[in-house]
Amino acid sequence: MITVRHLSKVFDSKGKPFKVLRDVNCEIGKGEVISIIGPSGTGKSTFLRCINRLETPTSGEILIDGEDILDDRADLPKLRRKMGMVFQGFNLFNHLTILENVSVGPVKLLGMSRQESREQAMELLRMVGMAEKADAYPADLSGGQKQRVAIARCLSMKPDIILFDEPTSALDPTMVSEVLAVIRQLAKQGMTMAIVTHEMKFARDVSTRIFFMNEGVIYEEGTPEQIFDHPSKPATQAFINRIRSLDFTVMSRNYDLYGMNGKLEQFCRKYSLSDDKCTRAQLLLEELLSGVLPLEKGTAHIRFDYSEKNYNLYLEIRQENCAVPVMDNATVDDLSMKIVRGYCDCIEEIQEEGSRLVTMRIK
Amino acid sequence: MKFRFSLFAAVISILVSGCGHRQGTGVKEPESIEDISNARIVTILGSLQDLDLENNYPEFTNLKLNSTSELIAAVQSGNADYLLVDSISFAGFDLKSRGLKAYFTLPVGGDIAFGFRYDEKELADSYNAFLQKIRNDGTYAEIVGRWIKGDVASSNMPDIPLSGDGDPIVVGVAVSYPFEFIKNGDWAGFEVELMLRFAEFAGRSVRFENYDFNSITAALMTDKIDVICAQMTVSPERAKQVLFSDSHYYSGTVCIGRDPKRGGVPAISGEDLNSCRLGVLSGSSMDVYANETFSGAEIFRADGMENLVNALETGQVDAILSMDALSAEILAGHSDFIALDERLYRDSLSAVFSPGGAKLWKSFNDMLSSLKESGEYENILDRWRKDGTLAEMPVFGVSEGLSPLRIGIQTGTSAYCFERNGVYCGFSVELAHLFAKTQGRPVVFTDDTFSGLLSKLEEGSIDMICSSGTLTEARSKKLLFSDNMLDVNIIAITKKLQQSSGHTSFFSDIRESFRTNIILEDRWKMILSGLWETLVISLFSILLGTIVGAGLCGMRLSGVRTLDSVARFVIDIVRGIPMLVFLMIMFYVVFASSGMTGRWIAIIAFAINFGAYTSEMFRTGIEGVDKGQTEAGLAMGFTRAGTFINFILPQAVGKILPVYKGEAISLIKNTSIVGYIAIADLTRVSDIIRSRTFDAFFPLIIVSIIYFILAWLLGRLLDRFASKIQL
Repeated sequence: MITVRHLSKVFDSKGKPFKVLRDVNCEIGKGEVISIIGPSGTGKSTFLRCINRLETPTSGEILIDGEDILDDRADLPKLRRKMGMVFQGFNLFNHLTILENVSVGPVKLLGMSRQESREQAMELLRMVGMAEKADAYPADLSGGQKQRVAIARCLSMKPDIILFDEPTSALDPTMVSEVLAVIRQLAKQGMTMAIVTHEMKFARDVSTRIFFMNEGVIYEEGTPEQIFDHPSKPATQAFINRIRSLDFTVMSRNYDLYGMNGKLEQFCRKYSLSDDKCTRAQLLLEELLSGVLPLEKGTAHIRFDYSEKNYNLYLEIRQENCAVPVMDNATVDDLSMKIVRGYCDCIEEIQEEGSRLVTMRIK
Repeated sequence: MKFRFSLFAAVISILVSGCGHRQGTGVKEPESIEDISNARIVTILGSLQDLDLENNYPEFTNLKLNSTSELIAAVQSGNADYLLVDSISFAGFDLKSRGLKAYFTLPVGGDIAFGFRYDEKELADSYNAFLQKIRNDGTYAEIVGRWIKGDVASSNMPDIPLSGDGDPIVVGVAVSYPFEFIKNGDWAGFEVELMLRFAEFAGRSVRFENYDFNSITAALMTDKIDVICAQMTVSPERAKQVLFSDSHYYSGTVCIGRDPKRGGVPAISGEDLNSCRLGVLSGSSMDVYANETFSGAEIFRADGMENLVNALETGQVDAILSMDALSAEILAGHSDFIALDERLYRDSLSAVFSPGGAKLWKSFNDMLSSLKESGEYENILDRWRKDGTLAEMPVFGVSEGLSPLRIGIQTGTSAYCFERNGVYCGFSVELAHLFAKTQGRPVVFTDDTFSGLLSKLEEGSIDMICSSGTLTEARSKKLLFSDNMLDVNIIAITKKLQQSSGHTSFFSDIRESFRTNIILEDRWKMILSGLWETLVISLFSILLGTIVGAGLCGMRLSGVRTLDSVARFVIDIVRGIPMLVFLMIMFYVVFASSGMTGRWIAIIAFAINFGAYTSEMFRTGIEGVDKGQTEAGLAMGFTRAGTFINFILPQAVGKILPVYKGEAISLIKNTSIVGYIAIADLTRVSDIIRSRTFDAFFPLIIVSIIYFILAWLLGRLLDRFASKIQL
């Protein structure tokens, strides 16, 4: 139904070209529910907006039922009628009532009679639970209610596919579920949908396929099980496990321990780690830097990774130009090693292109 | 809304009441131009008087205005002291009723002629031949008699049949009474009749176009008109551009200022005396006269002039009767009083004696006749008349011996009988002293009211009354009256209109102004036609201007750099030029030879101006609508235009309307300058009426009320429109 080939989009940001989409390829078939996930700024929304030409791609091909939407001769309004779009900011027509919002399209574009369109609108509003507010204006509604009306407005045009651009991102947490419920229901009815979302649980439940976008490409795609349970690529894994990181680079013995401890504390507080864990991480860092690591050999890259999924805090150290083992080093006294081992478990050490890579999990 | 109207009414009434006339300074009346060197003088811009002042008296304060009516308004309102103007401008005009006075004439003057273009020499020659002809056959004298020498107010244009064939002579007229003005909706006046008769002579028709005097030469130069008919004086400077015909009139200059004696308009007129509350001295001849003549009036009788004055001051009476000599004193002391012009009747003052005093009576009469014969009487009277209460009172020696002569007097505010530093003075007191001297007796004066004196005379406690006793029939039967001691005129004194606090007089004034400015000579028809002109220009400018604004806005939003720059350039240019200058440029330069009527040029100029201002409103209004609205429309499958019309425009209009409304209202008011390009709009019509009635305030206020109503109606209309399309 929708085929995208080699899609790229370059924005001009302050005179500097900025490549949002590099090379996107995909197919979306009828009846599919595609969730597009990925870190912010990786082009998810831009990709969606290219599909209905709200953004003009720089190069590539988008075929809708075989018709190239990028062709200058393409009848854009007609193609767009096949695709509904639900916006993050709702974008209801502020000067029209709820009922008019849902009936204006059919009357003006589909040639539906006023009466007929009103009946259809009421039916759609009942479906999304908004019939009561038919005569209200958008300004009178809450965010969740607005978004449900926006979905009804989409449906009024009887689209073949609906594009959801972060439909719940602008909502209060309390209103997210009412909107998601409506979308779930549409999925059940077999509506073809492409949803850009940050609601992972929802994406997993509702989707037939998941696109994981990273750095302007569809980095990995697959069924919800593949993506959520067995992501095959590191960026996907990090994203799925919701890894948060804190980096330090230590070049010599003249490091600023207090500064690093401060940052570490801030990091722990931000992701609600326990005080004990935070203290252990700080002591571990101090111990490693003061005695264990051979800092005179070369720069050490230290990274704390915290997974919001399984709540583990990892420490990763990459010691450049170092051929000797870091942890099993005879020069290091036993006491220091004992202390280190007291703070963490699962210590692994590997050799990687002249660097030693040590990972450990903080208790 | 009611509140808004009452507020408006309050402002208007403050304006009206603030238009009081300043009292003259009372210094020596000016007799030559040197006497007004320190005064504020007004002249018509570019007139001979203006040039004369600039060239010969550059140190004078010379304020320049555009028309005679403005000059009069300036002097009347006290914004200027004297006006210098062609003397014929005031032919047949009642200066007095306006509280003005012509002081002196100046030899500054010139020949008045029609102005032609140099390339229309034939027309000018033809006019000169025509002028020669009518001078010879007496028609010219007849025209002069009608418009200059005679009673202009009642003169009417004779019927002059014109052939409608051929090109009309387009005549540029600048209103200048009595040469060219509008009477009963048609042009009338000296030069107008000359022009019509000339057209008849030349077998052509005529079309009059009303211009401002300042722009009329430009109109001739740009072929807008064929001839200037604007009481224009021939000058070498003008002759460089204008081919003048032979002179058809010569006019000198007159200097006009406020009349210090007539610094106002009486609250009631002579006719009103029969229906007002009238104060008189009880028992005086005025009492009798008032009873007989003003049977309809409510007569208020008082003893003593000061009581009458007080009654007038406090509003118990509308007018009082007084002797003229007395009135000067009263008026000097009360700046809000004014004497009516007409003399009511002539009376004589006599000394009064009891029937038993026939001997005294006879000797008093003898003394009077001998004084009159010797001329001494005139000397005494002149002294008191000339210097009033400041005149010197001769000192009389005290005669001893015989019983004193008891003379009753009534002191008051007059130079006839008053008290100064404890000494009785005045004309009648002097006579009384002289009489006592002839009798060889000392004098004892008794000061009382006139009725008090009469009863004292009857009971014999005084021998005679030598005061303002006037002869009445009833009295003369009981008492002896001497020969005529003094001739006096009896006049009425009333309050000035403006200072009057009574509502009746305020509203009767309004009514009178309404009659002269609106009803008389069908002037309301002119106001209606002016209103129509203002409406047409305003509405078309708003409609066309909105389209221009939308176009400019479209160019700015097009995203095409050149279109954006062009639109921006146009907007900056138009906004940077004063509207009046822009209008004149459009009229005299851009569309000078287009043959378009002034009305359309005005509409185009105002439309461009309106468009320049509104385009930026439109732009900000449209840009103020959230981008998401456009995206939603597009995503649904609307075209760009469809999205704009269905979703963006309605929302933008709601945002724009309040400012748009303000701009539209200010456009209506701005159209008041179209008079400069010869369009008789509402403001211009009020100018024309003012030039005829010389009433500065009423036409302005009527017109301002009409503008207010127009603006208000337009505001309501747009509000209704807004509520229809808005949420």
